[in-house]
Amino acid sequence: MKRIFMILALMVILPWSMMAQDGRQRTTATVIADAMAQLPAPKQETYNQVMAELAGVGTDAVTEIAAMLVPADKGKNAVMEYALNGLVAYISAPGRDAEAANVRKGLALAIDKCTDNPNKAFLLTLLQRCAKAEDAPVFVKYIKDDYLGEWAVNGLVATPGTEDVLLNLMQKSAEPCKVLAYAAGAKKMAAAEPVLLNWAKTAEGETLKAVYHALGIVGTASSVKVLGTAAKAVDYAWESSDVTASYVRLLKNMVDKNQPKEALAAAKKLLKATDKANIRGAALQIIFAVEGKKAMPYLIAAMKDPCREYRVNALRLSEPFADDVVYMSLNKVLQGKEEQLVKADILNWLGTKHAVSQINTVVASMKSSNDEVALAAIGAAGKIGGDIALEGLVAQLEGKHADAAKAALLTFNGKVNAGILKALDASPASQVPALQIASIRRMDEATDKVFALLSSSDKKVSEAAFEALAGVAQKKDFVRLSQLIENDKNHVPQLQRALKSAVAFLPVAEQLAIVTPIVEKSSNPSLYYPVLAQIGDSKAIAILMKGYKGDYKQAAFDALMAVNNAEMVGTLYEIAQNDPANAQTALKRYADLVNQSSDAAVRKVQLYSKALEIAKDVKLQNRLIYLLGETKVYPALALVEKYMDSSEKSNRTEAAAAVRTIVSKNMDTLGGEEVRKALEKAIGCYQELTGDADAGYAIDDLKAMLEKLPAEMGKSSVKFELSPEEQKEGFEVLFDGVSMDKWTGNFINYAPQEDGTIYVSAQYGGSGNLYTIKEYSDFVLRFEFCFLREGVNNGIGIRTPMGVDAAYEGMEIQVLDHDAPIYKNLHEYQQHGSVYGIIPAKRVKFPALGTWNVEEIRAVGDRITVTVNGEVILDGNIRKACKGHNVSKDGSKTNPYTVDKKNHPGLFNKKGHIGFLGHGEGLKYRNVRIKDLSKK
Amino acid sequence: MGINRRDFLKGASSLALFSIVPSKVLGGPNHVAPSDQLTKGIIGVGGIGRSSYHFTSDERCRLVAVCDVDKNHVQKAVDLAKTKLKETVQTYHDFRDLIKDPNVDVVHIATPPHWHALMAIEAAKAGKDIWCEKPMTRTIGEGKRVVEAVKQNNRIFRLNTWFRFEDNFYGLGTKVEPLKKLVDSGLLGWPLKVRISGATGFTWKFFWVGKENLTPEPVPAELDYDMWLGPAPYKPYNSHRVHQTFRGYWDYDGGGLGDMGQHYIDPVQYILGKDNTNPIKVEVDAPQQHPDAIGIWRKVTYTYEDGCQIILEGEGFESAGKVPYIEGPKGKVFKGFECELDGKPAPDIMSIIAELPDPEPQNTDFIKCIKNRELFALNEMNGHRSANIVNMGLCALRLNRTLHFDPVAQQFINDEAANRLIDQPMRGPWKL
Repeated sequence: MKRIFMILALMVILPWSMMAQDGRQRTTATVIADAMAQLPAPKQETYNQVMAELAGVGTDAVTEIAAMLVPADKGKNAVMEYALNGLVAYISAPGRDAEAANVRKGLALAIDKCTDNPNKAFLLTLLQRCAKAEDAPVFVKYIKDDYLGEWAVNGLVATPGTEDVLLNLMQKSAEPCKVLAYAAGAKKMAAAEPVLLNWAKTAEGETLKAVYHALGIVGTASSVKVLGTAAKAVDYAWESSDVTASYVRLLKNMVDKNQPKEALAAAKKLLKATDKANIRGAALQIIFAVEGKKAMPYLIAAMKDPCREYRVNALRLSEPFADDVVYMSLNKVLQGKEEQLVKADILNWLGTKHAVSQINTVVASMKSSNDEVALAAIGAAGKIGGDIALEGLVAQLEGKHADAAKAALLTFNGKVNAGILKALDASPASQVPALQIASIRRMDEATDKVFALLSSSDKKVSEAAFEALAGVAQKKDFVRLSQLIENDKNHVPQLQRALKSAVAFLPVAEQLAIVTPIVEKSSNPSLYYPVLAQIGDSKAIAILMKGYKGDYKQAAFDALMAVNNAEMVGTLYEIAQNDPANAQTALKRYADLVNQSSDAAVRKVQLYSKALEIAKDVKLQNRLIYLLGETKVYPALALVEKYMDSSEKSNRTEAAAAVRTIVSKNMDTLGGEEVRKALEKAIGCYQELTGDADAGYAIDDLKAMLEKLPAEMGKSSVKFELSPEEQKEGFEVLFDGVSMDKWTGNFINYAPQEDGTIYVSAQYGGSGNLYTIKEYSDFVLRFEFCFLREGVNNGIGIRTPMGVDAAYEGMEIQVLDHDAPIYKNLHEYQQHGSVYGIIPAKRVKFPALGTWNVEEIRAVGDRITVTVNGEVILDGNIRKACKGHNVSKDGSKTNPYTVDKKNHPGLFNKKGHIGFLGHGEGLKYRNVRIKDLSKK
Repeated sequence: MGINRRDFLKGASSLALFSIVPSKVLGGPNHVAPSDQLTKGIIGVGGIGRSSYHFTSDERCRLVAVCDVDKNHVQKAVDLAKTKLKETVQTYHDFRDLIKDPNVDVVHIATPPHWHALMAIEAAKAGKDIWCEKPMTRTIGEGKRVVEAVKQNNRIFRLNTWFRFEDNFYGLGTKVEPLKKLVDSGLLGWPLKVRISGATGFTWKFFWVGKENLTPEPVPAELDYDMWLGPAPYKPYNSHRVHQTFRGYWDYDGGGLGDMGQHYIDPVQYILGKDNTNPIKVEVDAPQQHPDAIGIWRKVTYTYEDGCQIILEGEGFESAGKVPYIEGPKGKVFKGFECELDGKPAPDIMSIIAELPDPEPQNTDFIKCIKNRELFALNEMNGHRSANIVNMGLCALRLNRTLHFDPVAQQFINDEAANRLIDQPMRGPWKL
């Protein structure tokens, strides 16, 4: 486990402070590099750990990382952005003031140094998120800058305690300043009012608008005249200076600023000054806010106002003080001679307020000859609820507004059953809706009445009673329902629904016990097929199949389609093969049942595939293609892939979507030419869908998958076994994809995965490394590794004791994604495959992230050979490399004989453990095996 | 078009006077008097604004104007109006001109979210009623101002997501109404835990993530990028920032959570009866977020004061096995409305629910609301509250830490940096 990156290079360019060491003897440069290698942090835990380390060297971390930012067209900034933004978010949490001070200091220095405007703006944004009053000068410096002025002023606005700085800038400003005016408003700077009022005299255009805006927020009674006059001058219109809105805002703010009297006086004037409903409403709101219930005369007066918008708004605005006293006053309006629409609005509002005290008036109003009033009253009664309302609404069931009354009863505030029972005994006009409600509410207590009404002399009532049966039928009614259905050809569907509902939620055995005897006795068993379909067990299916093959083919088929039982899958397929007329319907049902089943995904693929072979209907094919995609397993890919060549456009689209689903869920294991072609084809299919908003995303998504797709398929067999050759040679499996028996140490950050890999999530300073239990001296170690993210850093310790730094106390063969931009200053001896600090390896060009690499490490005596992807990248002698001086001759810390100038006391260990040396997450190992050369 | 926009507008206004006479004035039994017919203008006619649900014109509300800062969008909208709606619409480049148009009664805001608050507030001040697409606003502070402005100007405001009153609600397979009844009945007990996850039938659309390391590109001639950005900080143009893919950038939206969050969470606020409040805590489990491009997340957990919770599970990080959509001490409801009460399956749940009274009716006819001046079912107030939940989640993701929220003051507690995300600065001259 080494963490000495870039150190020599940095020594040349960095001030001494960067060479300081942290608690773990790391230099600042190392802390930064270590941290950046782990970004973006995958979890909050890592994030907090990494950011805590960066915050520990706050000022330098910020300046150093910011110095790595390049203009966006010159390179990639993401890692630096993650680091800086993460750091600012981290130190901005409560209780991190000391660290925050350093970071802020660093940002100030970095902003000064940065020469690229977008990057500078980014740094200013960061400061904006964490600045304190003392950082104000950093912003002030850029306030006149064409590009950065925006960030500068926003920085001052966002930072608490900058009011004095802003006021000073305002006072010094030779002329009215738009930006500063907005800032004064945003900061609610009461002290700015005099300056703003002064500016209002000469400012024009956009600047004047800004001044008005600010006065609207910070102003007091002293601003009323200026804004009021200006608003009047534009006739309280919405226009470019926006002064009317600013004026209203001023008055409203004055209410909260202990100037209610002045606000009230101005609002009363405003109310009279304009006929614009929205402005009058705003004035009324202020009057109500100041005077509360005392302003009730305004509410009553509003009811006489010709403008409906103003009237209804007055009602809504009175809500904070609305009580029975207010309701009573409105009641008087209802009794009076006002326009009917006014009454309707009041009734409506009483309903919204659930004004129980007004129920008598509301109920009385239901009888109004005016439709609007009656309908409003009916709606209000339903919302208010209670016995009087219920009685009133039931009475309305036979009136002109029966539909509205019925709707109100269905949403009634409380139970309606008592009222509905009464209505069932009333006139035919109310019986019909009462039957409907009784059915919807499943009123068991109404069952007998419903049966009685089946024979009503009124045709409408008896029809409604048949319809209502399904809602009220119970187990005890099954026999009488069966008698009805046997004898009444005109109400078969209604009675079938009732039969089903009568037994619906009983256990299957009980349903069968009730139904079977009746079916067996019946002269027309098909009448009961829907009930049998509902039961849906194997006995019921058998009866239905008998009918299908016998006298009731179509009725039985229809019922079979409704059976919800996985047992039907085979039967349906058989029907599809032998009954051309019903084949496609049967297959659709087949697909649904397979989808619902708990079968394993691979089994589902087989079943869908069978259906696809005989599916002719395009919609059905598409459904099957979709479902194949939803299995999300690789075998489905080959089946859907070919539909991207279909002559049907919808086939192609559906298949492309399925390809996308399957590949996206299997990115860890999929790869190779076939998958690549499928993705490319899918992109083509989406490109056909010009004008579809989501197609663009799909294409982006698919392209991203293509970029990440490894050149080869992942190993699908999870358990690794030695090849016959390796077996013969005497290799031993260390990790077979499942067992960790040969390992010891950190199993938390080296966790075996379902796909047969060890996933590494170890962090520096985490809970340790993973070691072989056995020790090895001379050996051939073979394994595969795969980087999942940019900049991954790990290492293979050899001949090392446990729990020490293997790079020095043993040997470390570097594992590093050295192509990542953060490693641009890397030393050769830090490249992948190097014996760390001793012998540099030849630089490997790695394939795309996510691709598996094959490696062999051979250690025989002093000779170490490393082969990656078939290429020997290191073959050297460790003793010769340091001329035999693994430690300095004079006992000093600097050793001129090693490439990294460090002592490596463990370099010549005869034997030791093999270990994985964690240094951040995002790496997988698999198929680890070893040949012990010392055994002979 | 080399024509100066102002001149063009002047020329067009007389045309507008002419065009206000409805084509149906010549009669027919369904004739609507012009004074009864409302008119609307759409701001933002990209994907959503031109979609079939929004790009409509009918007897009750006629489309008369469109506005966009992309000339191609405007042209497409004009063509579509002609072919699909048989309407000639007025076109605008600056939304303020559309708002000012006296022929427009209703302003329909279908821009990216970073514009919603400003446009809604301006429309309110101009006395127009408002139809606003979700998410309502991109910060909590902006939402507060919209609520104020709409109330102050007594406007009718519709936030456009609709699952609290119509359409089957994703994994539930039914409307939310039966669930609302079930919850209100107390049969599930209290407090409740709601899980919005692939496992319960909701997808978070993680393909709406942004890209890091964007390189500057030339701004296309048809696009007024400065106006497209509006209040958002200036960043060099890259085509991935705008149109469709804008959802992946913090400056304009909130990724899958921003885009789908209000669809999924608003009905939960309704079901739980929390329309006038918000959770007091949000916790996130996510990879560190980039300052510009929005990434994915694993889990976001909201907790209300009474212990109710909403748990969002990111795509690919769903709970394994069968997990309930909503769960209380006494009962659970799973995907497809499968239900358990007191630990036992309740196949007759719909029958039990049918016996309960339906919830109080909601005002779901926007045009009627405008005419009667009634609050729409999903309005500026409850819409703001559900947008708050989305936005507090976004703040927690950006800061990568647990945040505590005061639902009355609508401020985070003891976290000044989080509160700076409540009121994010706007680029001048766009100020609230």
